Amino acid sequence: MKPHLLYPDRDFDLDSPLPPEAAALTQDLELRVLFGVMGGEDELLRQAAEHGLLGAGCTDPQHIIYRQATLRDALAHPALVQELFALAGQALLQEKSAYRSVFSRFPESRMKRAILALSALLPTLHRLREIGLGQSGSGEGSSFTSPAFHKLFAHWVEIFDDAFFAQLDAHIAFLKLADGALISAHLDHNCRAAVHVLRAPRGNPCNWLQRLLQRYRHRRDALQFAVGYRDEAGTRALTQLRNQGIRRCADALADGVDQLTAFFAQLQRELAFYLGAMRLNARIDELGLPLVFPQAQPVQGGICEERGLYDINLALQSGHAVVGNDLAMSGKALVLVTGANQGGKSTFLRSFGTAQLLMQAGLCVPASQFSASVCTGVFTHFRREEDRDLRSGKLNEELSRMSELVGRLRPNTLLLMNESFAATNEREGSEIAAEILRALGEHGVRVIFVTHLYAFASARYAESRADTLFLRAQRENDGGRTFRLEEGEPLPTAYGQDLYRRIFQEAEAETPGAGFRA
Amino acid sequence: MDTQVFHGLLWPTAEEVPAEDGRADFLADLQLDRIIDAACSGDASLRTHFLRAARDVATIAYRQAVMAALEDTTLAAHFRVFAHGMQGVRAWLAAAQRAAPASLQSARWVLQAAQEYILALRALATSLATARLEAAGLLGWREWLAVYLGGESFTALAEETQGLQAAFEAAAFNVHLRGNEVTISACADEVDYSAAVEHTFARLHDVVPVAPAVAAAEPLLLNPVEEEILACVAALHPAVFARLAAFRRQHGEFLDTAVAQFDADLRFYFAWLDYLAPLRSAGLPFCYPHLSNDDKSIVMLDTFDLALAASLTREGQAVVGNDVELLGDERLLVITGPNQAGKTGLARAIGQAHYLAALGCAVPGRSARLFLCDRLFTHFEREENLAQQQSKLEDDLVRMHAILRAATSRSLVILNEAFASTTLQDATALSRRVMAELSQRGMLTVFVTFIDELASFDAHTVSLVGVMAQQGQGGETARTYRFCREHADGRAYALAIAEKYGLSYARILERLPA
Repeated sequence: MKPHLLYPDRDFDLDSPLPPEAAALTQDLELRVLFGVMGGEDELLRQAAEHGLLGAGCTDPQHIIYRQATLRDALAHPALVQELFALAGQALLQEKSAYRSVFSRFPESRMKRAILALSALLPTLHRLREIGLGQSGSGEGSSFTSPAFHKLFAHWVEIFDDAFFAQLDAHIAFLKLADGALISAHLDHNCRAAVHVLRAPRGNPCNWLQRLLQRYRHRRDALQFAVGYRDEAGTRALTQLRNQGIRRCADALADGVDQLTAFFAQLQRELAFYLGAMRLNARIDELGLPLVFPQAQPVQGGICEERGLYDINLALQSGHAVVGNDLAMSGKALVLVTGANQGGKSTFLRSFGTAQLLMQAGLCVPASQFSASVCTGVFTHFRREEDRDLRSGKLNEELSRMSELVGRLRPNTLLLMNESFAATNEREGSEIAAEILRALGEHGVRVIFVTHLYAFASARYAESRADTLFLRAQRENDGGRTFRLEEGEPLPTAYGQDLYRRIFQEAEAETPGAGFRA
Repeated sequence: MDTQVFHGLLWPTAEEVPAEDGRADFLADLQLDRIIDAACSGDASLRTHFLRAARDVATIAYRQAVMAALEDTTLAAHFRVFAHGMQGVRAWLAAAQRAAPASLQSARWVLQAAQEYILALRALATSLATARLEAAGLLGWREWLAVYLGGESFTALAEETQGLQAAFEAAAFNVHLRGNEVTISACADEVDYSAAVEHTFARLHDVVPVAPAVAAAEPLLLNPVEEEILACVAALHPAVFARLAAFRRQHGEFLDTAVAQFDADLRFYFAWLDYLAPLRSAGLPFCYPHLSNDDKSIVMLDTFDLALAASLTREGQAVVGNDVELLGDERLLVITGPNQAGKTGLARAIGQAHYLAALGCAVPGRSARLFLCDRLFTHFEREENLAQQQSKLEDDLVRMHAILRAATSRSLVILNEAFASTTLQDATALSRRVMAELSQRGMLTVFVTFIDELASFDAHTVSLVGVMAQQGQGGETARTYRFCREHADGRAYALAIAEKYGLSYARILERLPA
């Protein structure tokens, strides 16, 4: 009994810790803004968003399609999705107050609590059946199209049938054990009554006690004793025996409750993920920006094609439209981004990384068109601003961070590098970069590298390899910036003079959209 | 070998040797006491096995064959299952022994013991039937076992045990608990309600879970309510309990002495193999030494101090092995080297190997050729005692004298920093006198000393010098020494070289997966 709204065959896992690269991704891609919108005040939604984007994403395009279909359904039926989410939350709350409030290892009390919990859950289960009947394939009102929701509704109709509810009612009534417990046993190797089985007489259980007492009276083989009310040890022993007798039954009952609880908990988490996505779509719609269901390509396809890709975090933060990029990068193993300071290079890197994560989470991507091959993981190696004053220590820090990454860079992972190895002089930095990137390239790691290391970039350009793309941030002749990237040869200058002039000569006009970081 | 008599896995014949005094100096000096304690791990009855070393090559070969055979985990598994079964048998019989004779429980325990005994023996016989056995001890056991299991008394025991067992299983009953009232009655056709509940919820499972068997450790003795229930059940099924009493009278002493002997001996082998297991998985080599009665040459490759290796392995540290060779008429091994070089450890290793080899055990090292000595003597420094400073040298000499008097030309003598509490000149002179005596008697001797000139004492002397070994990885200058056969002239100290490692760019590239 699994919701399987994210994977056709697997649970959405919120319990495993996020992979080690998650913290760096959040920081480097500035995902906090995105998570804030998806999660808002709701801790569960936020957590679901984080795990959905940063946890094990989809590496199979079919899984991405599966989620996209589920998301389309959710977007089309916001009220029902909200209701299901609320039902799950309410069920968990009821179960918690009836069952978990005092955890007990004694079967007796475990059974009592399980009965309470089951009674409390009954209305919710009935409602699930109702929804299932209304929306499943045979239901005339069904407008759901995704395999995930279809399967879920059909499953509810199947398992929550009349027989199930009748049996639940019978168990709840009988297991109060109003007439005492009848337990069968035999003697084990210690001459102790063992292998206890709780018994019920055949036929109508209502007057079974009367029949049993009758039998005791007429048979010589019924033997009886009583434990004195003041006999503490005896009473304890009696309780123990009773507990042993009903243990299996209590376990089965508690297990049933656990199954239902686990289902509701899982349903809640998986719906939380889609609710987050719905919030994100709503917010982007408000801003009037495009969002698109991306086309995921198989893993072997190099990097991607994109049109109008923009930085969603920046858009959400600034609350207005931002510049997008149109690029064709398919088949490339390495993209080297050079060019003007403050020309939108880092923004591009962040927007691309975020788009890749969103796509592999099965969500919409901030672009007018986006098609990319899936990768087996996204990693970042960004220059860390805060360490700028420790020059020699900083290179060590960068190298050790890279060294940690190296152990996790499997083939077809995507590594986003932002001004790596700039902490030393250009010649040394270029050599370090050249050797590392050669090794990574041979290993099949895809890299997008924003760099000012001209020696490295120009040497690579001279090789004129088909698997490398050179992008350059544009500068207009007057020193202004377009914030667009275009194909272009690396230049020995980053037009840092422009920045100098802008700051020292106020004659330079500020460009709209300032607030980009270099 | 007589198929009707089985002497056990330790001694091929009825002949036995007396146990070593557990307080003998060499046991403590060589840290054999620690090794033995660890190997016995709480089973005190095993200790005497470890204190009774074999005196002849044939017995050692008999044991080595058994031990080596049991290293095959597939074969050993059969015997381990048996040993585990016998452990249960012993526990039940002990419990029955302790209980009141009239107790219903104790009679039931004897039945339980018999049942597990039969099970263990038959299972072992079945699995051994097709096993390839080569060790004489195991072959002897298999033959004996086949005869025993086919015998009349065992067959009778098995039949009655099984019959009674079935009778108990059939003697089911119902307990009705209502308030403080307990009613015991015969079973009718009641429904298993747990199954009904399990059935209801089965549909919620994608995979139906297997309910874990609740194996709560229950006390042996019954509580008052259980006692009353037992009395009621005994009244409900009187025939079963009468049969149980008869069983105890007739079969109470079912345990055969040869089986008990085999079981006890087997534990010795497993104790040793289990002791070695973590060391082996840490990559340390062990071997079955070749022992000679008359050839005093010793060759030990990659040997090490077992007690030290055990604690280093626990801490995850590396163990350094050393080679020791005494060839031809070489008899005297002088070990020198810097402080903390592991001189004492190497001396211990040589002593330990000789003792453990005589037990039939696998010993540290890739291969070993040892002399089957008649006795082991050690002379180690006694604990420092300031109050007795004056008599320390005297104590040294008294002990040395006792050793020289008791030792024969077939003994192995290990001297560790003897005469350290006097001047260098005195120590040298005293050592020379002792060494002359040992050398003249042709005794195998290991002499650990700080006096370099003793390393070239005479033509029978071999000098081993500790030199700092180069650690492959890690870079820290650990005190890891290797002993080399060379002249002790103090140059070895200069060979200590520390390797420097840094986190270099080249190293990072090395770590890139190919």
